[in-house]
Amino acid sequence: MGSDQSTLPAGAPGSNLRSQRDEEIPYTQYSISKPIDTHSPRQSPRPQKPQRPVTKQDKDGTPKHEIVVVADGQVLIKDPDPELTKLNTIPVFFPILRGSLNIPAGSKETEILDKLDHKQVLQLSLRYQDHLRQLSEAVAFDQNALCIRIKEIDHTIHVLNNTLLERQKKYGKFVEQFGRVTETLSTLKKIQKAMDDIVPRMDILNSLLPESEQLESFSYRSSRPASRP
Amino acid sequence: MASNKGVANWNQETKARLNDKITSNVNDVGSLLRQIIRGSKSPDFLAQAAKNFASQESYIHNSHETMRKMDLIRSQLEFQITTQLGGCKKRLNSIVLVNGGL
Repeated sequence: MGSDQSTLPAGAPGSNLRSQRDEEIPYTQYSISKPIDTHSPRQSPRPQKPQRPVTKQDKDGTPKHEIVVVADGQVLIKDPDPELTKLNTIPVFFPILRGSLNIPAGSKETEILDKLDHKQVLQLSLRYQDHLRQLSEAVAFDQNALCIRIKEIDHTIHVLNNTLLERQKKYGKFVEQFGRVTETLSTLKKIQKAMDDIVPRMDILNSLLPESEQLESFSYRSSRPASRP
Repeated sequence: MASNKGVANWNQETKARLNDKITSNVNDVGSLLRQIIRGSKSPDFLAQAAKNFASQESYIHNSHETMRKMDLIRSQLEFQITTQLGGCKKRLNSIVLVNGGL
């Protein structure tokens, strides 16, 4: 009996189920979904040409999956496994300590003499030294700029303070003048009150005098022709 | 037995030698790094920058004191303005009245 597609796991070649895992995890397709029948290694669930019409294996699938599922055994075997070919295109290089590669004891003699290439280490350390120097120069530059700025701000604050002091002195003079004005005003008011008090009494006294010695009524609004030019 | 002891001695010898080698390696790495850091003069620059910044402390203190004085002056001015100048209109009016009365 053939494999029932709905009971296969999601990543298996013949199943119509798709899971997010298949698409989101690259390079694991070969390990997740090993082809069950290997007559064609191309029989992977990965949709290479998603618009291809489905084969007879998908007749059991739900209509929802028909668009996604492509089990086309008609693809030419140009590229058996893209991941493997990609891995094979990476050039072969040795680690820094070549002796850490192989565990088998046969090759140990050659690697005992394998030391670090001092020129490369020297260049690496020189580069690191240069990097540290640049970092420290940047930091020192910023700090110096901040110092200058602080001095500028201090100078500005002092200038403003002097301006405020001058303004305060001016206002002090104004306040003093205001004080004098107020004092004069109060004196004038007292005078007016006193006059208001005195004038009716003078009128009474005047009226008590006999007709011959009566003065004219007192008024301080009289015109003073002598003062006019 | 004797060979066992000999082997044991040789093992300890190799261990001791490995120990020394490792110690010397670690020391070399340490001195190499020290040379790198000293050679890049970065601690010198950073120390100089820190000293400069610390000397600004006096400026900052002065600025702080000055700003406090400025705040006092400002509050005094505000008081003066609101009380004295606020009453100047009233005084103008009373002056006019007194003049009219006299």
